[in-house]
Amino acid sequence: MKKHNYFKIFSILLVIVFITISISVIIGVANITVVDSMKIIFNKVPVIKKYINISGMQNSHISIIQNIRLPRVLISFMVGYGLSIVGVAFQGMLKNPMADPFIVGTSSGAALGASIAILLKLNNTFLGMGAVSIFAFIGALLATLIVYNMSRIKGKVAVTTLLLAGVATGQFFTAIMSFIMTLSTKDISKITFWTLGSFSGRGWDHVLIAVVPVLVGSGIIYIFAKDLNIMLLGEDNAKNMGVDTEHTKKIILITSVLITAFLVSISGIIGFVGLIVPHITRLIFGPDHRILIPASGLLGGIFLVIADTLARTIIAPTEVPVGIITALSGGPFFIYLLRKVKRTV
Amino acid sequence: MSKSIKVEKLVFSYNKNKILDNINLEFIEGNIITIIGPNGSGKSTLLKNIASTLTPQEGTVFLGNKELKKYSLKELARQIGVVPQNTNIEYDFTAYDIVLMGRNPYIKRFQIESEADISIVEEVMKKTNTWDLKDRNINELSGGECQRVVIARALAQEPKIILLDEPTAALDMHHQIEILDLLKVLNKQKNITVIIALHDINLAARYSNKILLLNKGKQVIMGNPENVITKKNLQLAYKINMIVDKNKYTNSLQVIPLSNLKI
Repeated sequence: MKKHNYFKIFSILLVIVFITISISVIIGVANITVVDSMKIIFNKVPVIKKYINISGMQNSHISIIQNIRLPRVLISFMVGYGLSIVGVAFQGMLKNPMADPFIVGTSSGAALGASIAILLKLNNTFLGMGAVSIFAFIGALLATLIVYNMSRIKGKVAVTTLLLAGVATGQFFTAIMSFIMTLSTKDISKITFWTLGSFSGRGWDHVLIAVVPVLVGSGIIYIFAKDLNIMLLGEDNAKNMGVDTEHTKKIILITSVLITAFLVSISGIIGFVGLIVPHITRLIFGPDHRILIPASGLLGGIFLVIADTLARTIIAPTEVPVGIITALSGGPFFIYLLRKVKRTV
Repeated sequence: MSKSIKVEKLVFSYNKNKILDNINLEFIEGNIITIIGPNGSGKSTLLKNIASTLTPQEGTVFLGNKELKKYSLKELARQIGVVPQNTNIEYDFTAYDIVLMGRNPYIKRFQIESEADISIVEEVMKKTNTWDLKDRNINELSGGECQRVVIARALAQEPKIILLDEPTAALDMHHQIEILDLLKVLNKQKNITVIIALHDINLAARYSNKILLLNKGKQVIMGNPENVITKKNLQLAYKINMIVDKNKYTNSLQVIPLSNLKI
């Protein structure tokens, strides 16, 4: 860990976060001026709102900014933030550069759950969540539970078994999902769209659902930052240095799975963010999890906000699944960085 | 309280294979003890049982008067420092970061390193001659440098006992001697008990005051070098013809294995 100036790094990142969010809220199909957008946003901020007058503006504009764009940008930020932090935690804990938030079967479980709900045409809602989201959440937890139990040998979580069990369970669940898609061909596009992820139509309800698990969860993971650093020296060594590795692994696993399940149920499966952002952050800031965890979260949030802004504007009014944008833009950039830094991950 | 290690009726098996069979011995504090024996005789496994990395199926290991498994991981890490066989750190931590991690057993979860921790890190790095390497990345260091950093990390734990598994296996003779000299100094100055698994019997004879000879998971003999390094004992374990005599330069026992080849 080169002696980074924590304060400087995070001040800069937070400024970038703020700028990205502001610009993304301004950009859109409805033509709302920059000044008006800023006024509408600041009108929501306590204290400042006394000085802002939005009475002359069209109600539709106010509504678009406040009820459509702003929550959507915030939710995409939170999803990017959460997935990147889970990705960092998994890559560190499993000591595997291929690990991402979905490595333990979460995505395929969620996808299967969602496709069952789509197939059964369930439209009920619960706490503002649609049936598809709830089924995805349950599917994600169920799949991870299976993987977790398979990889537990004599009370210990074996990393290799965990990875293999994740892949095997993932394939199995995907097979069932494909079977469902074969049975009901007219739902294919709906299911496919869901498995590529989207923030279309996400509002304040979803922000409220995600905010607590993401903030609390990332806080819990951050508490274990130092243990994750030591665990990079190998589990046996970490134990000899006083780290309770089994305890750490269990807490991180459970916290990460809950974060991922909440996020996946809101946005669908957005691949790539949780894999690439941690690597990019590691290339820039080094391996210290005390910096890596918060920095990845912020960079992941920024990345996904930009990706979603592109997704909704690039061929407007048609929406592109945001997962396509993340892979298309993140992949080449990551390869460029990898070549430029010429370091192994 | 004494910080000797006592092993009683220890049995350890991987699956059905008995690796250690009824081991009874005591490592008295303040000694340099080497464990020798052929490949597969259970040297590493014994060390791992003492380090609490492995838990024996039968028998008990005591540290002082207390059973090993009754120590918390952090308590144990303050007593025993472990230097593993090969340290392969693929991440860009600096040597300083690695050594600082050795302070972990003294730092509570929501604490950051204190001035005292920092000065101990500096002290052990100077002692191990790694202070100059502090800003270098661990994966850019040579084998000998890396091994010294790992020893410094173990020392930062301020242990009473340090366990080393083949610490010189991958090193050239210059660095082998450097590491063993360092251990000898630590033993003399800080009265740290040093327990090393070694392949090289000649080095074992030169540096240790107690030697444990293992063969197929059983203890052949433990005692002073003169009592252990005999043709009879070694041939029992190594099954090879050899000459044992005193080296006139180092004045310690030396073993010269002979070839059976006749051409």
